[in-house]
Amino acid sequence: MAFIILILTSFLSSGAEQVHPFNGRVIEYDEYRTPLYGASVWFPDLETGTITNRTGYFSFDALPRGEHIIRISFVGYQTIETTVFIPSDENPIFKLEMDPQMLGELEVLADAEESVQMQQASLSTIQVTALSLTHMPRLLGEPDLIRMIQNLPGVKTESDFTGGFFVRGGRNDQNLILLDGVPVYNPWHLFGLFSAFNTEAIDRVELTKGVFPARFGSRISSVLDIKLQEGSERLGGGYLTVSPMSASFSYGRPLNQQTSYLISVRRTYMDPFLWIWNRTLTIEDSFETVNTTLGYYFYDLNMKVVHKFSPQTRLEAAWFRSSDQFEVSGETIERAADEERISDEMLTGWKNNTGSLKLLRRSPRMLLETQAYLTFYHSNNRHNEETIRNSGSAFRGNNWITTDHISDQRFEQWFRDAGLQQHITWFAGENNHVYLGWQWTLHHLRDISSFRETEDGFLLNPDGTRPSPQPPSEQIMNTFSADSLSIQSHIAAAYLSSTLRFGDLNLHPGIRYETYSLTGYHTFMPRLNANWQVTPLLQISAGYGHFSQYIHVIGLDLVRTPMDRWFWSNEERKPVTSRMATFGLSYDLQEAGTITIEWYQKTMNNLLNFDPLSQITAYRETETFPRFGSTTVSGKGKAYGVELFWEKSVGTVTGWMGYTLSWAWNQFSSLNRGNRFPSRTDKRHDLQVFLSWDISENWSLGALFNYKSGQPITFSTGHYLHERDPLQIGDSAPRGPVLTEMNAFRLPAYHRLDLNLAWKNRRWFNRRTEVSLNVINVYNRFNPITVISETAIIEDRDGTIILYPQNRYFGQLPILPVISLRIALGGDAR
Amino acid sequence: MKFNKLKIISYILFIFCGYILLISCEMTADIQVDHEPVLQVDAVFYNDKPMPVIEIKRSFQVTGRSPVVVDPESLMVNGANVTLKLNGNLISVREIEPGRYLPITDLQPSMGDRIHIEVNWYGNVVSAEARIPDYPVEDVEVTPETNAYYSHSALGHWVYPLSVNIRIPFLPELTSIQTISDKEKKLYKNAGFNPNSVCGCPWEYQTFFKENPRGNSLSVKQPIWVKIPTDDISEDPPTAFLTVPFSITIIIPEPIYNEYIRTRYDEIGAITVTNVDGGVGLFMGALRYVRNLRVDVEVK
Repeated sequence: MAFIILILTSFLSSGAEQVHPFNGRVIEYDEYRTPLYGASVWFPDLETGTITNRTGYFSFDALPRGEHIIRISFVGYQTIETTVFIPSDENPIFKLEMDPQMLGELEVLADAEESVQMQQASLSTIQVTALSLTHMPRLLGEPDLIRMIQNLPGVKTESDFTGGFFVRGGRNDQNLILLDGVPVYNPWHLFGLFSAFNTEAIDRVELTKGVFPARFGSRISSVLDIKLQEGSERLGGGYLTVSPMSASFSYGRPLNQQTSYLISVRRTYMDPFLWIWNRTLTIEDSFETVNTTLGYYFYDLNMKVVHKFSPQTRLEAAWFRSSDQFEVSGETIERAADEERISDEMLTGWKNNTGSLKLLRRSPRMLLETQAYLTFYHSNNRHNEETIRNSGSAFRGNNWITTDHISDQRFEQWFRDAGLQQHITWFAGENNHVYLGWQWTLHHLRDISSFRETEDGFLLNPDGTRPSPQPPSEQIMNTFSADSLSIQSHIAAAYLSSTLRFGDLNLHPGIRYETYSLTGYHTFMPRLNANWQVTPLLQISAGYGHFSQYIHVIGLDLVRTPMDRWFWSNEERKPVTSRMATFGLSYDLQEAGTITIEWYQKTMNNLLNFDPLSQITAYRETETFPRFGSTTVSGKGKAYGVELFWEKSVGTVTGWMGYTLSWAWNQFSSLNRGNRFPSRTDKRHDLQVFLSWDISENWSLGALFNYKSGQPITFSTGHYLHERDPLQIGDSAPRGPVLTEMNAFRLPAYHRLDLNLAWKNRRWFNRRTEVSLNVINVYNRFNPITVISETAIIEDRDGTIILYPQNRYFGQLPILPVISLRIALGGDAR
Repeated sequence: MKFNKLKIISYILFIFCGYILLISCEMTADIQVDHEPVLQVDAVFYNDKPMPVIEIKRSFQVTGRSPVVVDPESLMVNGANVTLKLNGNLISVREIEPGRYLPITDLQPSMGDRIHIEVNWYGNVVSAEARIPDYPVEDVEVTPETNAYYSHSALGHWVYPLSVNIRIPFLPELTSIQTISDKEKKLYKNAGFNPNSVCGCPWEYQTFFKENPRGNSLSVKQPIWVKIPTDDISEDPPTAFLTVPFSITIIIPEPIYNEYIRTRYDEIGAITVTNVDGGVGLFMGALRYVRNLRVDVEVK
């Protein structure tokens, strides 16, 4: 019996002694001890490995006792291979030195699983960390990742005020914006001036412009994958940022060994200033009193909690909310007209709400990610106008009529998405990964657009006096029109892809299957990226892929508004499809940085637009908001070009330069007489230069220069004499210019220089503080956003026509100097 | 003193910044882009009228900031080579005045007919096709009321508005309707008024767009004015039984007219509506239907 117990005890103790936890850290071999996030830690003899977390730590919970070879590697750094003994008395720290030979590749500083996937299209993928924004000039003092994205090669905007971005000839709605894996619609503040993502809460962003992996679908242009921080820094970290526009607070830290949280809040304080300003907007004299009030606010909120059940299992819960609301109301009381009152109220606003739960489970050879999410979007626009007249306003027969006139216009949209997805990463070998997964999303879209106009009145006496007793009001007018849309659909998808390494050749084949319920549409979309490291300095890449999209937003060609209409594909509006091919080179210039050249070609089918009558009649005389019908037309597009990108990321002067030579065309059978026409993003030359100079330990200077060829718009100097009333029915068609070709005119070229001067490492409020002066458009360049023609046409008595040309450019952002403050919170603030 | 200086400097800076911001928003544009003139072709073909004169003009350039004086006659295009076809059959065309081309034919278009034109002027070629809309206009129901009440007096007449109910059992893109009594027509023609002028008068054409009504038919009520001359004896409007001849005219143009009349050029809507391929102008057909009726009415 004792022997059995001994054997069992020995077995148990040997079993207990056989495996031990092993933890360590990987940092950069520099004075800052920069943690290396995503470094590979591999035990060749045990055939097991892992990667480091954001603070460079790694852990294994059960490794066999004994001496083992450990290999630490990280892209761009020299690999360390050494021997460790398990168990270890202390957690070892491995310091990696940069490998100058490997600096040609883009650095991976984030979730290796997704990041490795995204890096398949290596030349088309741009990675940005929140730290990179530090020196970037900021509009209104607000650091903004999307604004930075807009300054990258291959990414265009329509104007300084455009909240979206346009990738390689695509549209704004063709970009998949993911916040921790959850799609977000319309994430902008201040009508698109900057995004609703609080930069201080963001950990990293990756934009793939090219052939993005099979994991991503439902869009055809790009994937913007945004990851929030997790608050896992041991001493906590965050920032308080104050700018003239808003204040934001962001902080994250561990609650205990298992749980960490992040919270960030940003809110404008324009509303109290406007409240004060409104007091000055009351005008009163002997004839009338005019009161006007303006109101605007925005806020956004991020919360994220990460709980580690074990080193292998982790649960993330995240919530994002943003809201914008703009109101203007006015009241005019005309005393001369016996207290006639006109009141006017306009409100426009939009909200985003997303929530998700993500469960990650890791085993030595597999990573399983399961996520459920909800997304809500609501846009609410209303204009109400009321005129109460106490005197005659119209003439009927021999009598004046006095009227009460009310008009009410509304436009609301609601989105509700519910999604479920699972992603599996199988680490088949050190160099081979397999990715597979499935996704299901239920979409519900509803919108309603209505206009009501009523007029009630009664006849006054012929002499203009009120009859006594006053007769009951008579309804003179009562019109109501409405248009609504309600659609529910779902998209199901499955994908399989892999990373295959054959020496210096990396292949990333993939296939994605999608089915869309509303049309019974289903498709297989192949994706392939290949990277060949020809020499240690030279890499060649190529890619090809098919893409589909089922959701579209259409509005006016000129500007984006909250009244832009969202559509889902149906039997008449087929899904938009696209094919893209890319080819490029990357060459390492050693200390001078990296240079890449990439050619791309993209074709798009079933693009949507409003028909000409819808655009023309969207604005009606008595209505404030454009009212788009649901009649759309479909067409195709083509975009191609070459992007040149040079990046230098080491040294006291760092930065990048991007140049794009591109063309983008659209063709619709019912637009432009069926002829192809330049897309609004067809700006032939696009140059961005960003330089960041660490002048000293306490001072840094950032400069961003942009040059873009002129925006194409529809404008002409040709005029013709319309037949005003061809049917002789009393109509009067306005005379105007000959506009028969869309986007045939080019505005003057756009160029702008922005500067950011930062005074760092101050100690204010006992905290590390940074003060920065940002100047947008330093030399106050007038960059036109459009040209308005108000050519006056006068007809002389002898029939001669005299035209007075009055063309006016409207400009974009003028010079804007702003000072902002950034205060570090917590010991691990970056 | 120091504080005052600082204050003054602040005000100056504030005004300077405000000025910079203001001048940065808008700027007069001196645009010198050349415009290659295009041909303009205008004509309206009715089903109840002979072939109209076709006007052919050209566009012109307005650049810079200086006024541009244009003599409309100088824009007329003469000597153009015009090919006209009615339902595929060639029709001769003669230039009767510079830029005005008359089809030489006794043929009158009917509902559903197609008219095709091609104009060639020094290598500048444009073409267009018009079609007379085809609708069962005989099915239009016209029901005038039989009582009219005094409203006012004007131009030596007692005026009694009489409502006429019109139901059109189909729904074109645009329908224009005029109701007018024969007496009004005569009266105002003699006085030199244009019955088609815009004057807030009841005989004005009323235009209805497809999107306004509900359903698949158009029901409207339009007034005609029944008039009785005033005399020096009676001070009150009389009561009488009258027979009032009147007419209704319905004009239904091709759908392109709907877009044409609603085009407004500004920074938002930006395209010229035309059906002339390679040029501008409106070369279209229109259905015109006139019904003459008489109604016995009691005016009170």
